[in-house]
Amino acid sequence: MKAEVLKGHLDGLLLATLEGGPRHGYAVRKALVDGSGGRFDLPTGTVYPALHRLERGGLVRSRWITVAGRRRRMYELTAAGRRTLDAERASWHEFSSAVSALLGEAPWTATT
Amino acid sequence: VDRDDVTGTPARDAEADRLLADYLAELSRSLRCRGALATDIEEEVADGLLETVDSYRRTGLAPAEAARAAFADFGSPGAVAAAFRAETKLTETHRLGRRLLVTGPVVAMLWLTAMLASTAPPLQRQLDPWMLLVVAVAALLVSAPAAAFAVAASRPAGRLLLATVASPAAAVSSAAATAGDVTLLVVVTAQVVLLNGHLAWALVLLAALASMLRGMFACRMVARAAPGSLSSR
Repeated sequence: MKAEVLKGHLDGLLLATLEGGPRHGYAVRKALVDGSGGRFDLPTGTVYPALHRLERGGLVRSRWITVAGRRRRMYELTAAGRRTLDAERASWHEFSSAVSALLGEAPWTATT
Repeated sequence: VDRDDVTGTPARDAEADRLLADYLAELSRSLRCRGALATDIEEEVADGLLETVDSYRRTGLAPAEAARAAFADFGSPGAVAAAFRAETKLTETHRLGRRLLVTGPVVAMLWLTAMLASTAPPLQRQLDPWMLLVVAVAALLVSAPAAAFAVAASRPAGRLLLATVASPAAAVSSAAATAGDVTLLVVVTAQVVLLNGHLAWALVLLAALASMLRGMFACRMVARAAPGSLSSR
């Protein structure tokens, strides 16, 4: 699935990958790929700027740790990030229910 | 898969290390920023690249092939740098605004001191030094508030909506400061060329040098912060 399709949903998806706890950028991207069954295969290099943007927006926070002798930046949700994720999730359920109702298999009854 | 004796991670070879170093060097050149932000971006991307290489090594790829596969996952260094453009632009804007705030009063005081010291005729008759102060104050009245706004709007924890106008504010501040500098330089040059004015040379040259350095710096920073968009959504 192309990256353009994810526009508008990327922030919510990134927040969702952090719901279970702190992750670094590579792990966030891997969670996106694995969680979508390989359908959301974003260039890894675009995930980091998106995480930085979420941090500027106060939705995630980051801290540096040292692993195997190299610095690693870990991200985690803030309280505002959790609220935003809840709102995104509710909005998505509402939207997907409406789309499913319209694009479902049952044919529409013709009216005159 | 060979493993590193110390970390236990899949081992790389010299070619893979060279490929990784080349990628990161290209990224460093493509990022339009310096300092802590550039270092953080480079180290974060390096960590992610190494993780990706390790994951491909575990699937059985040779080190160099694993590195190339990791590059394909990440995108080109230019594309990665472009994706960071919004953030690097804000950081450069913040730095430009702070430096304009600091240098504005310093340059103005240098010029005022130089003019007050240049009291020998014909300067005193031809040009009231207080007129130069008016020019400097007018430039400051536009430049300083615009720079202060740019600094506030581009601060790291700033709101994204305000951040969209931080760069134009910094450009306005730079333009006002540069206009003031150019006016002062033209007036002093005219004094020297047309009137053979008696100037306090050391002070005038110091002020002129400060103006030129600030103008060059402002132009470079504005050019660095200008292209690109803020939001990637």
